Amino acid sequence: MNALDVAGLSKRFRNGVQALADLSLSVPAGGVYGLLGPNGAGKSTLLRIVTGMVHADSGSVSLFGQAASVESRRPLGALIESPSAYPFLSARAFLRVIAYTAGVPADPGALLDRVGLTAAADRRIGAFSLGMKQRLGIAAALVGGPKLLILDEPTNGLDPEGIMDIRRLVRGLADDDGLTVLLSSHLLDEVERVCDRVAIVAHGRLLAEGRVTDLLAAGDELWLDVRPTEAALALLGAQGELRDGQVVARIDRAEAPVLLSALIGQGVEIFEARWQRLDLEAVFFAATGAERR
Amino acid sequence: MMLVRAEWAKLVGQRGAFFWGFIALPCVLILFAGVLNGAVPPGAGAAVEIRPIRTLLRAVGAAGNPFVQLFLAIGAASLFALEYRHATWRLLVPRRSRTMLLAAKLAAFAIAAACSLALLSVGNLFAITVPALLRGAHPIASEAMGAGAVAVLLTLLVSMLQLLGLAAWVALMAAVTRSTMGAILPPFLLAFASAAIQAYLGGAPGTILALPGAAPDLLRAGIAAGFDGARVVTGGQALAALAITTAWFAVPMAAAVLLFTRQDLASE
Repeated sequence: MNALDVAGLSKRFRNGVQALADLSLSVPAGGVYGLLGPNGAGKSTLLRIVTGMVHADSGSVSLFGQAASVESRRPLGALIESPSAYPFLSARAFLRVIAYTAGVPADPGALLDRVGLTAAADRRIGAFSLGMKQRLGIAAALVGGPKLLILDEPTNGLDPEGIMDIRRLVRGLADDDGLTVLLSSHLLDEVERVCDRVAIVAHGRLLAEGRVTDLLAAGDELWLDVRPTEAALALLGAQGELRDGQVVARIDRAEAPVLLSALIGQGVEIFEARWQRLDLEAVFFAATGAERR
Repeated sequence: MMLVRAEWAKLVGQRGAFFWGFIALPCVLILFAGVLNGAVPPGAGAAVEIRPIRTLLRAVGAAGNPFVQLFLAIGAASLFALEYRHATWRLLVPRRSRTMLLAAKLAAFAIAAACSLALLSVGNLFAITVPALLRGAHPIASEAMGAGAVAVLLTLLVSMLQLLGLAAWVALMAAVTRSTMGAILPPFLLAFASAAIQAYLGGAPGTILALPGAAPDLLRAGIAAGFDGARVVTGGQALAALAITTAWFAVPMAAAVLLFTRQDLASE
């Protein structure tokens, strides 16, 4: 069963902005699912529709096989965009308020301990740094023990150590606690490190989706330091290009021995041949059609 | 109940808004009443007639005063506009139905407003008895307490219905304007305009003005007169006034629920 199914979702705001255009995707239960997209891609609108904050013009949302409703959203925890909280409450009182709202028992101490805020449990939230608010937002999302956790840019405002902590926490929630985590991030490196699957969204549409390893493997390239390059390029045809003085061959790994034999047979000198795996950034920019920085 | 508890915790946590909304004005009015009663000259040992029921009726009836409503609107806005102000609907909406969230806020307001009226009532009782006792006088209650309790209870119900109407307007304006000031000012201006029109038109016998302040005033006057054994309001007029007072609560509250349940919370 999927944790989340979104089918044919469309949303146009009153100002004319088409935030989502017939978007469909499925988030399988278990693991960390990344949601990637440039600013204005529709990620936050999608998450707001899933959490019931924004009404879709058309399409459907299902959570664990049930149509989205207040009841089916009970196993959902969410941190949407910037963390928001009541500045006049302490962190402990805030989590209690969230638990009362959800109608569930909560252990604020344990939740604060989990996100590293034990020392600040009784301090007013108004005095918190952005990073502390971010951690508190994650703690609030964990109130009630959700099965699906939506985290929108959860490492914003955190220092490098804090980022590593949150990444470990996210992986731990998925691996140890069995949660499904839907992680929206603009940090490609973060998604690549933390996520099992990824969806790339732009202009409200799904451009690419799949396991991170599969998406990256599809972009494997064979880099050849050869002389003369012209002979190698002629042999490769459309599958080859010259990049940074080296010949880049976009071929399957199984074709490599044949290619290398052919190059040697044609008298091409091979100084180095190495496989280079594309990073998610390259996959992302290829999918969104943007120029690589 | 847990949802109301959450709203109550948020309300009390906003100490400034809670004080100005529900505590400050009763304290000022009690002080004022105490000073007035302290200025009355009976000497030591003299018997002083006090009227606790009329004092309570007047205190509970203060809900009809536009300035009392201004302060209570501040308290109501600290509930209904809070989530817009701090962009915290995102914490609540995924967890509970929007109707339930508004209902919990209304319930928290009702509890706080009732406490505020209770504070004003008890404070006024102290304000009429303590100065006399301090001067060595003997306060003597001169009213029938049994019948009076019913009158006070009925007046409290009318006042609470009127204040729920105020809260409903605050809820509606909070949803429309998404701001605290926008939630406070229009309901206050409505109450003020209602009082001004009521004073201008006066209360011709047999007429009921369909204003948010006029109908509950008529009901309170009828209850108070009934306690004195007089009858200034007919049964039909009382029912009409009750219907008008209920409508001033039900219509804006229904509009607030309708608007809020359909509202896109794209930044809250």
